Amino acid sequence: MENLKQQLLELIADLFKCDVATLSDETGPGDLPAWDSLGHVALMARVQEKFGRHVPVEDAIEVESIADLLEILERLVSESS
Amino acid sequence: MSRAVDILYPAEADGTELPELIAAAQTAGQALLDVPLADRLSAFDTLSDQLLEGRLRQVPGIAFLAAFLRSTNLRTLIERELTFPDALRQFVPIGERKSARVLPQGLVAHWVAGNVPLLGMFSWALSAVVGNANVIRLSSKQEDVVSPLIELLAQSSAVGRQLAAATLLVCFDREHSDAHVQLSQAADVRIAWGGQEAIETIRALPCRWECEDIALGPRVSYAVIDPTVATDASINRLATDAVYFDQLACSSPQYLFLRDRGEQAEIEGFVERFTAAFERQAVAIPRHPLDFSESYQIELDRTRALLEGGRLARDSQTEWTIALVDRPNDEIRCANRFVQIIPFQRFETVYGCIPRNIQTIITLLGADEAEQFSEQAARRGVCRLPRPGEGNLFETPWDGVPLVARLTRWTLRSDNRR
Repeated sequence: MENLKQQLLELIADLFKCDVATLSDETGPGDLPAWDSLGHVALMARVQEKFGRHVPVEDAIEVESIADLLEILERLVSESS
Repeated sequence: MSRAVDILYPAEADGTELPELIAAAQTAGQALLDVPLADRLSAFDTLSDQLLEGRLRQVPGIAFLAAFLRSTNLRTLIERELTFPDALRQFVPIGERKSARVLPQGLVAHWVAGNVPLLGMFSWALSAVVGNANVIRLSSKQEDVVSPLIELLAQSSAVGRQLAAATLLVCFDREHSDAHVQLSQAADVRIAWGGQEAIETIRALPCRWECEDIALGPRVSYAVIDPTVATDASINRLATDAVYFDQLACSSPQYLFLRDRGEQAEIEGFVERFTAAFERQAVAIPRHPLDFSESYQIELDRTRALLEGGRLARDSQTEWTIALVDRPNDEIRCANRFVQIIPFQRFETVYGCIPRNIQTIITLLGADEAEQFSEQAARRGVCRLPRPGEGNLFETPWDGVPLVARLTRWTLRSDNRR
């Protein structure tokens, strides 16, 4: 799962044009200039593209931080494996 | 009053008569029958990608639309109503002796509400993805945020071009009865968004007897919250529900009923947390500039709440208002970021305030109370009971209407015993 986290951090850094080192578990919507409502939807689309897991919109709404998203992603991965 | 019909999409068709354009959209719609559902879904994914790249970023609510257009979301909505979506492509067995094929109704006419024109794009997308041709009518007063969207779709992919070709976007005055009648009589489904007068006017237009009507009229929405269950995150999402679309959407909560167990500190604490969240969201989410009449109405409503012994939390201008009151005041127009919080001890108080045109009650209660409340609310006509943050998510059924079912028709075939 550590690998999953690293991949997620790299994806977020790439999408929102920032350095992975500036991200933490607590980083969330509004903390980065590009992570606004549109950026949030874009992130969910990129997560699906990269990991092949669809984050349901009801879950996406509840993502307040990278830790929340990672938890959802881990759950989706374990459900399908 | 203008007697003209402006053709907003396809732009090059301006000057062509409306019936000819409707016929062209119908013909393009026929061609969609040969396009697999997966390809139509994929075209909407591409459109969503373009919105996510920032095209049309300035349009309020565009993030909601971009999320709605994702193929995974559209497929989920179709499958919610249609357990065998393959029937949109071919006959599929249902039981031992029957097969069903599900087809688009044909031509869907959308009369889009003046206050939030983007909302009409949700019903358009759902209609288009199941294969219908569409005519969208905007009023002359509306800002056209729709044609750039259709243009984007047309440029995004080959199937996008086909979907756009089956879409006609027109603009004409409410008084242009000839155009309204032509559109109504051509329609297989009429979707009317708007206020009571607009809905009644559209429904009174002559149409074919077999035409389906979907009336998405003036509904109201509430929230029912237990402060002991509410987390800061859920309160934040609740504030977003109220702030987005400036409460012009039917799904925006206007009254917030707050569970009161006699602990004043609980009520005070919630109001404080909600106020902080509301203020934060009101700053974060851009709004339309208020005109004088809107500002005046807000000041008037604030005065009404105070005269009835209510307490206000508000900004120094007229950007947002939270009124803590003993009972809901119907005279107060809860729009433009104005929420009334009403503490209640018995659920009967809430039930007594549910009108016939209720749509959404955002609910955050303990499990047992949520179960009991949901059943009673449903019996009283509530259409949706989402969690905080989901209030403005367009979905089907909407206003209690299963949209995919209304936008499609079935062909049933008897088969040999298998």
